[in-house]
Amino acid sequence: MKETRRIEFLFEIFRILVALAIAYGLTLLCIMLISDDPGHAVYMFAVGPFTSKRRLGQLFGKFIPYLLTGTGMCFVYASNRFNLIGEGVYLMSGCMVAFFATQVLGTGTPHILFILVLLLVGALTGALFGLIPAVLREKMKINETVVSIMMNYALLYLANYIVKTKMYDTEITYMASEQLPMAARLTTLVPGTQIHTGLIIGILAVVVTALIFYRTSLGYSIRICGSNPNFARTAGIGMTGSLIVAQVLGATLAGVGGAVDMMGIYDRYMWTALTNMGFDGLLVAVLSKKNPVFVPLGAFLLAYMRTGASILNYTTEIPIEFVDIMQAIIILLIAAEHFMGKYKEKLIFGASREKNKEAA
Amino acid sequence: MKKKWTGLLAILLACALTACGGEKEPKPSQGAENDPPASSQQSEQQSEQPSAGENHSIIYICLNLGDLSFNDMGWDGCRAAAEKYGWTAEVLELGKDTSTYENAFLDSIDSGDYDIVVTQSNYGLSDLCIKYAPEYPDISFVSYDMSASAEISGDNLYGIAFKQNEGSFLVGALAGKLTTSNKIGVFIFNDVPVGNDFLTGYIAGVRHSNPNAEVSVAYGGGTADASKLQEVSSAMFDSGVDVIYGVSGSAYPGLAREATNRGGFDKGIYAIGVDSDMWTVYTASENAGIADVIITSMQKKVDEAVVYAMDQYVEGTLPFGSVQAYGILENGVGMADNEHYRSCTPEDVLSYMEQLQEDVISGTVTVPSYFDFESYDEFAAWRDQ
Repeated sequence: MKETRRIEFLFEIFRILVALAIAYGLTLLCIMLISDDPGHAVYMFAVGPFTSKRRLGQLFGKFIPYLLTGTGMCFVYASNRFNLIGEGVYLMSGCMVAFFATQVLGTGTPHILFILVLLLVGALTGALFGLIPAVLREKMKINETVVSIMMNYALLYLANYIVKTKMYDTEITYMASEQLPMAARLTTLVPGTQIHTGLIIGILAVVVTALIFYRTSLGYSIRICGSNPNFARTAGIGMTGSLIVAQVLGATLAGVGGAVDMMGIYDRYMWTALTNMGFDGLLVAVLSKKNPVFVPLGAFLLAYMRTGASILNYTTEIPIEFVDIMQAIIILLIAAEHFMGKYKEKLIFGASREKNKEAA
Repeated sequence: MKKKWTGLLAILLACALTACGGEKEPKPSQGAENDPPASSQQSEQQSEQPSAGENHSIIYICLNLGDLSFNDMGWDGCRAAAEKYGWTAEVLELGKDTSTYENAFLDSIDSGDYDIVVTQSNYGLSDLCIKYAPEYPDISFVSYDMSASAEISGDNLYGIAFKQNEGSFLVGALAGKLTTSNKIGVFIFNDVPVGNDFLTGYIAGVRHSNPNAEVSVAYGGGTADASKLQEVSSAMFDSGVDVIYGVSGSAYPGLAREATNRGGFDKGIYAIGVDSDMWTVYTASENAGIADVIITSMQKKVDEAVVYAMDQYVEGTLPFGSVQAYGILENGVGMADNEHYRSCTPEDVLSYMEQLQEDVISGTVTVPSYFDFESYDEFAAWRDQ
């Protein structure tokens, strides 16, 4: 058993490295094929995010919300539910934050209070909408993936409706809210970059989630319900409750992520299409193997790739569509959990057979 | 099984090698962050040796090229201006991820390669111009499709607004005259302010020329989809509509095709185009077979407006610090007056339209605008009355 676990662990690292190498290899190959100046393009893709303060800031602008959606999706993923509601609540919570910031709270509200109220709004929005697919799944056995994906679109159009009827800025020609008041913006930590105080909130979320996961009975029951439902049932763990709580907590963190992103880097609410930040959160959770301790790593890796792709787009002649394709290749290979799965089984099987031989 | 893995390993190794080779290679462009884009970006036109003070370079910042109308026309305008004056023009496509816009915007103007920035106003691009113009006094910013009521200042920022309601008013009045069933249709690409400004003018035009006519309105979801527009048109024609105004450049072939399938002018079916002079554009393209149902088009002359702004810039008369509204009078919008329209429209309608156009220009007839409504609800009530 111990041997199996060792092989699994080593294999996991090996698998991710191989996937990364193939993905990067394919990507770089593609760049070389289509670019007139492949050296420059490759340089921009691989090193670009570190070539200036602003670009590093852009990386952090992505890293911060990934911390929050990533930890949130750890809850969902650890409970073995493929619930994608994080995407919808991310957007909805950004919308509600903008609504409260521009329409409800007065500009006279003190900065700290303003921020705290908006964070609470984001969290509550997340929890409220996260409750729906979770309860439907655990109480009525309705597939959470279908419900959450459908709800994402419902939330997108609900948010559009709210913008259009309640807070649309008549001074502009596209659909967006009025500008957020300065009191509603998170303080920038490093001037001239997108590194803002949301970083602290994100790190806090990671620490708290890690504590819940590994130091509380709730975290334990969530992990057990996810990895071995039969055992959980036999052991008398309240599965329904734990699983609902896990999914709602996940959505809550995604909601905070949306709120932090909105207050951190945007001037106004203008998401008229799904942001992909919720889906990316799931990717972060997959990359970090549903372990919140590794979320900063996974979040950084994904933010680095996204930023590299974005810089590649605006510093070279490679069209934006191609940049999207390359990101998809990378993510596909990293997320493919059963990639080389047969090989793993073979290794484990071989190891145990040898052991049996020794024993005999 | 073994062989398969050997193969994979070989690919892997090859990839790894290219990866290593690639990353070490680009030494020459090390200092990239300060000077790169010029060499590698889509350089449409290389000018001769820069002569001091005269040579300018434009960076056109948009969401995505390839829509054959709004985005592309801005780029056409920049290229035309660059060609006219021997400047360079480059384009930056921002893509879909809104969180990267600000960085991409700043990164490109920080490169120091450009002294004129032309953008749309979409998705906060006009906000970025307003926000950063004071920090970059040496760069001139031109943002088009702003709202005429927007207030801007500074001596290096200029806004262009289009009175799409005026042009739409004319084609609406034409639709009111052409219909025999008193049922008129319109498709708006998305339920957004600019789209509703088109709609406001159009409905007002129909009500002006034919108070008995009903207008059925359909909105798209924002993405270009010709088959969806074809379906919408089909449903409208089924319900007795005989004139449709399709406000979506990229989805427009759907409408033209459906109208053609239903017999076109011979059966009393008309389509009205948008943004460019679509009959002329289609006739010269692979869409020639479906061009003849387009009686006329409401032109939103983004390209001409950009060139006009650049002309003023060269003459030193560009009124920085203000938003100028380009209407029919300023030749920013208008009804396409081509031979097809002339030959297929009844004599009395032609003279009616000419008179109406003069009335709009002179101000005898005022055209309502979406931006005049206090709220969306108020607009919706007016639209649906």
